[in-house]
Amino acid sequence: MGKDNRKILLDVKDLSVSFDTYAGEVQAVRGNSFYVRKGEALGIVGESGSGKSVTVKSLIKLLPMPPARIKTGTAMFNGKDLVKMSDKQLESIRGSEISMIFQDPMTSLNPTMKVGSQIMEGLIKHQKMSKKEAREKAIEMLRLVGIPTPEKRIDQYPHEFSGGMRQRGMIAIALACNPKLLVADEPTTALDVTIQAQILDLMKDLQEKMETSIILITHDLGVIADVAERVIVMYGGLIMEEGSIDDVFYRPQHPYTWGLLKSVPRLDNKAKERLIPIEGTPPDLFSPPEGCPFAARCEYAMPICKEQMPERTSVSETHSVFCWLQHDMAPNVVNPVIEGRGK
Amino acid sequence: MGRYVLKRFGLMIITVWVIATLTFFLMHAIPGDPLSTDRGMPPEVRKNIEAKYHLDKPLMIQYAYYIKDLLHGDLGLSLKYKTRTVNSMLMNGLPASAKVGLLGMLIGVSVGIFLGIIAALNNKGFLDYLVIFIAILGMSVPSFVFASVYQYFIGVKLLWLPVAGWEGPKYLILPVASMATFYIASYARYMKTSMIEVMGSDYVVTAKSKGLSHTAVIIKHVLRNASVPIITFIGPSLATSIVGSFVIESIFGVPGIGKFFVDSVKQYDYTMILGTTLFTSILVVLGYFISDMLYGVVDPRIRLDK
Ligand SMILES: Nc1ncnc2c1ncn2[C@@H]1O[C@H](COP(=O)(O)OP(=O)(O)OP(=O)(O)O)[C@@H](O)[C@H]1O
Ligand SMILES: [Mg+2]
Repeated sequence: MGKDNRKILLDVKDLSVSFDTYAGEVQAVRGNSFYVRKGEALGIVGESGSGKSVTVKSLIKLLPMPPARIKTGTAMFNGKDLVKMSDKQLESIRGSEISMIFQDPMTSLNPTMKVGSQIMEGLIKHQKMSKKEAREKAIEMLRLVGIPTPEKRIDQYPHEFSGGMRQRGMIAIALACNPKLLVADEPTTALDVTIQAQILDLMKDLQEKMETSIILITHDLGVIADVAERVIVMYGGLIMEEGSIDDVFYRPQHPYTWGLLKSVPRLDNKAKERLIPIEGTPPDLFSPPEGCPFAARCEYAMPICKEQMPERTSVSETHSVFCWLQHDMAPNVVNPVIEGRGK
Repeated sequence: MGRYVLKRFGLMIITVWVIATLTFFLMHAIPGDPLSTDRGMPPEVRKNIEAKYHLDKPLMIQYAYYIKDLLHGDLGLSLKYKTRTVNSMLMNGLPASAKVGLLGMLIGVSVGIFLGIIAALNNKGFLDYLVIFIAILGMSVPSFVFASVYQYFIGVKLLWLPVAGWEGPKYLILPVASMATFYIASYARYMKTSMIEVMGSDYVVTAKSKGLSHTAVIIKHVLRNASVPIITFIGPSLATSIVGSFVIESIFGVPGIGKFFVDSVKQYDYTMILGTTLFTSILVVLGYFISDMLYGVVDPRIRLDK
């Protein structure tokens, strides 16, 4: 793959987000930096509680604040810092330049409002359309996301839609104003497998047509491989590894990524390979460890791992990792995933 | 929809029948006798009266008479005021009861819902705590205490309003206020809880993610959904308020159904007791029915054609 010359659309630096709860400060995201290019699809993976949703929701302040609080960081979007924006400025960005799709289509649509009206709202607000124009556009959007007889469906309520159709409806809402960035937070987790594939295909298709950038959050590596060009692997509120799909799937460097890859069923492997879950439990975010959050579960952990978080190490131009194993003085560890595949 | 309404209606009739039957047999299971308070009644007169009211017949026969009359909408003769029917007494009391009750309820529910919204929008702020305080006070202190407090301060001390009686619009204010107090408290609490729940729901995040302003999110997405559960309470409140509050009526001397009811209980006037109970339960059942129908108007998921 050649050098990627596309412009950077979103550039996040040193983002930390905490929740102030009665029990103390939950440090959900702890100083992460990443970027998304124009028209690019970035995947974020990591197990439950690793801070994926908090990371993206904090960008357009969809978290309840308080308790949530952005402690540090900047998020340059089209040359402006989202973190510093006023509520009014953010309102003009939400839904028009950055849109979101959520995990559960059964609960993310308003049950007492017609699906059509829910699509029209954003159009009326951002594109100053009349009701009639917005209605036309909403029908067009429903058709675009593959809902049959949209003229009829537009006047139906969410409960008259199936789960997959509701998620299509959500996509129609999200894409109605032609946003520059679409954030999809586990958009297919709540759907059954065949519907999952359809929704992913639809997203890929629309991304190409509309040249939207995508951030796709999931804990399903298969989904990432299918849709994304680049991947961020998160754990305990921190980025562990970052790289292109090939980097992360074929040359993974971080023991946590190895663990994730081993726990994925492989369709291309005829041998009845057993899925190996990662042992142990995620770190306590009230008092996150000084060192690498994965150290407690890492079978290669060294004393230094528990004391200090490793710096970013570049493996290649596209690929970087946060792991002490990269240090010159660390022992040479053979990557077990590659090993397994060799056979 | 038609079938659903019909089914609900049938269920309503059955409910009322069950209540009528239960009250009838319960009344007969309680020791006592409607004629026992008339000490000096000669035995022949007593026999005559018993015959007239079928009290000399077996219970099942009495029940059959009772149901037969009910089907004709006849609640029978009062045992105490022997020349008056239960129907006429209820109808006499109803206007006063309904005036106080409905006004109190409508004012109370509106103010309560308004306060609940304020509290939810100020969650954990000063106004919220103020509303919660009012709500707890209004729900835990019995209404006769409020009624007495209003009566004493506004009627006796300040002389702003008449203490009791029933001679004009002025006489309405204190009983209506006492009635409203309870509704304000309970509806403020229901509405706040409901709003908070809706404000934390996924679709509100979706609405926000479209770029709608906070005000637009509240008006277009939160209020309607938050009022869905409130509607469940409104029907029954409507029904019970029509019958009025027995306690408030007797404190302020409102000539409503409540007063008759209290008297009839004291005097074991069991046709009156049966009649009033039945009348109230018909209203309550009707109230639930209205609620269910309203529910369908607000919440499209309930617009069933089952
Ligand atoms: N409102 C909140 N108050 C307190 N803590 C919160 C809140 N929301 C999230 N957190 C905490 O932040 C951490 C990260 O949560 P987040 O939702 O980002 O995880 P995630 O990676 O998206 O997981 P999942 O795959 O389950 O969606 C979790 O430990 C969670 O407990
Ligand atoms: Mg999440």
